[in-house]
Amino acid sequence: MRLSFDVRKGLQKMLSLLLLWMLGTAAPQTDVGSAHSTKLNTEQATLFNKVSDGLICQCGCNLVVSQCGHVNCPSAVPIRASIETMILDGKSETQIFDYFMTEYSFRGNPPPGRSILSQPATEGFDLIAWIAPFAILLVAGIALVVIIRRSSGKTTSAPPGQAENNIDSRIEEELKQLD
Amino acid sequence: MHQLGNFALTLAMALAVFAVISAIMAIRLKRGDLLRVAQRSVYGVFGSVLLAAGCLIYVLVTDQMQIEYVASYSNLALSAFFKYTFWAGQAGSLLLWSLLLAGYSFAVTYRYRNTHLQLMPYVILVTMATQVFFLALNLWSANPFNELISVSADGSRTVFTPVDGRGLNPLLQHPAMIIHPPTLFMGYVGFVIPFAFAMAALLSNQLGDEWIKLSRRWTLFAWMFQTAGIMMGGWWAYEELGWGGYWAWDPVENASLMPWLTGTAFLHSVIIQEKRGMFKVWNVSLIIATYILCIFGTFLTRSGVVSSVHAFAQGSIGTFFLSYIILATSISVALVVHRLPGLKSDNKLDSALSRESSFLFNNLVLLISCFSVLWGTLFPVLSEAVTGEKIVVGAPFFNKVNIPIALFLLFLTGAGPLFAWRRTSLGTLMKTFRIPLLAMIFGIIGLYFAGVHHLYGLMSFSLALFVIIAIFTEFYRGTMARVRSNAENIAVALKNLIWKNKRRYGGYIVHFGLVVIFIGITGTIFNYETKSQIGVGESIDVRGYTVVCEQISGESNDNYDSQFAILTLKRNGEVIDRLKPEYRVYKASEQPTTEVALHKSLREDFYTVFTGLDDSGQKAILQIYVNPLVAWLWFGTEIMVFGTLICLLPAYQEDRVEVKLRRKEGVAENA
Repeated sequence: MRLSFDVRKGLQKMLSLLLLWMLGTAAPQTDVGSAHSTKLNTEQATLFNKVSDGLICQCGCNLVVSQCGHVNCPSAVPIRASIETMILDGKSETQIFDYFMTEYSFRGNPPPGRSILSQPATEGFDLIAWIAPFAILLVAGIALVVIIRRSSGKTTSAPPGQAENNIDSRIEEELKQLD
Repeated sequence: MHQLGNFALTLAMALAVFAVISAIMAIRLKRGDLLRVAQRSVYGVFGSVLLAAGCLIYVLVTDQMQIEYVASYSNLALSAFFKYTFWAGQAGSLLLWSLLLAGYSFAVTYRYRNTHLQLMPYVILVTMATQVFFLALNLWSANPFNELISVSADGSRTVFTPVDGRGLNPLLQHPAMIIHPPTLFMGYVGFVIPFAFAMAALLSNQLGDEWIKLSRRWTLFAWMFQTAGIMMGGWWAYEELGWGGYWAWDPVENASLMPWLTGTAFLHSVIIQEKRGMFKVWNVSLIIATYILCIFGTFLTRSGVVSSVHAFAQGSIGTFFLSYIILATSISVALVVHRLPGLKSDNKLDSALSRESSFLFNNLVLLISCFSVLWGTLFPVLSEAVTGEKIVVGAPFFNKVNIPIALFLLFLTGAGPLFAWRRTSLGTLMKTFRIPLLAMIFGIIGLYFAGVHHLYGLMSFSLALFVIIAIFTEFYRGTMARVRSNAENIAVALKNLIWKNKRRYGGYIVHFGLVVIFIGITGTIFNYETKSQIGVGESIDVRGYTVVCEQISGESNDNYDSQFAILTLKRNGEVIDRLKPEYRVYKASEQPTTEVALHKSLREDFYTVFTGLDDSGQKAILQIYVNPLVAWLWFGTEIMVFGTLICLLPAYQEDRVEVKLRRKEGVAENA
């Protein structure tokens, strides 16, 4: 069945939206209510979780600030406290991230630094990090489809698989070969 | 004893070099006696490395603190249990690599001592060349038998014996320390054997299926250990690190996952080479990639190129590793290119809708997953080189990129076996897919109305249902076919079905285990975490559980001081467990650590961490996690290992049975 141009375009759009949604959907997220004190209300706690998931602990554990389990961690504990204080002071998400990016620049580089963020940004050089795996998947997928189509096109007279028109007889045939 | 250890290492090195030279001469001069010499040298290498490992255990157990390795990774108060685990530090873990490689080389050489004589000299050559590299590291870069030397003012050097050692890292003082590193290393090192067979095929120009058939069990064996080792690492992290999770996408965790992914791709694509004589270049390339990634993983842990909690101290060792990786990759690629004409496929793909095509997609997805892990692991290094700033790539990146890929892989796990070899018509495909697809659709609807609205949660659970039904259907149809054709009852038919095609149905069991693991991972979506302060006699309610604090106390021994809480855990008013989370400070290292207390069930884990006392010193500060479905991860791993063991069993020997029958008939006739 051939799809009309508009339908195809619509499908493409839907697929792109689905991909964006999947990327945007937070990967398994913990229902956290703990890393902060009980001073925060629900909305503030959500912001706390978002920010502490977006920052990487500097103690070398490679975990996000919300998850670092080191006892009295010299990095995660003060960062969590700072986030909480800023939220209680009414700072926005952007303002809090800007603060940490200014505080934690990489090896004396001029701020703002990005080495405190738990994932690459979606702009500039960092964008390559996000694009590369999917770009390669796309290119390799297309290449594979082309290879399969070309290869299978050359052998149109090939006999069908083992009694493939009847699943049960296919299995019986395979089993006979084993017995 | 350390002199004996050094001697054993030196002897092993000499024998490994001798084995390489003998193998080359056996090939060049075509002399069987030289092959025997090479074989015996391999046996000698194993004996010598075993002796060196024994010497290291001896100096650890007898607290010979003048040995730098003992003083660095042990102390007098350390439990004897952990003194036998000589792989805690760089030098010891490299010795473990050498020991396991020597063991594998011994096993493969002995197994094929009188057979496959055209390939075996090359196999010995490759395994022993790798052995020489690791022994060289042990002798000249990370020698576990080095003594502590004190240099006085006049320049004289004397052996220095400290009163006590620095002790073993508290995080390593866990039962998993005994089994996780050797299990994982059995995987890493085990992949050397199929690589050696592949290289042997290329070097000897024996490019048929012999190397594939010979290396299949070795690959499966290594893969099984790699699977178990990775999951054991997760279990260790979960029970010891106290952050409530089991996988953090740490560079060293990633390093163990990458060869597993390429190894899995290899295990699937070799089936096509065996059945159809296709993908020969691809298979050789995959096993080369797996081998290189194994060495690369070891390099990542030891070079300091990326920061990791697992990393050993940095040193010149990284340069040796990098040089070896470049050398091994160059030689392997050059060999593949040289042999390209002989690696042409015997057949072409018949149809896009075939088992072969589905295997190709499976390979594509596994390799893209491997690439994305490698890419994320090395991106900080790349970003620093290009922009001057080291960009962190943490768990959020890996989750976002890998979860869609993993879900596609889960789909292929169920869909792949539903395709017939060579070609499947669209009608047959629809018929085969009908029941699993219907189950999946009903699953999505049911889950949605049951309150699962998370996109990935819905996709993962429903795809899991799709795969389970697809696997079940394969077992059902196979069993019923036997019932019809052989008039067997269902139990006997099922047993015979599996027994007479262990690879196929063992493989399905492995797939089922993978699905169970996916279900366990998906449970993460519903994790709950809270922090509370609790005094003696007080109780707190958490997600249907009631925690009652019975006691807060402390204790001390030679190794550590600890504070702990005794908690009674209740559900629906009934006591279901008593938990003792602890906060310890180890005396030798002065490092604080927590000992998690867990109540486990198939439904969820109740996970408590004692993080200290409050300012008044009267209340325990508890970090509590309720983690659904975690037990499914460990259960799924056991199923995967069980399935692999079935695949590893010898094939049904129809010929052997026939020969026995003929013999009996012959005896009867003669009588």
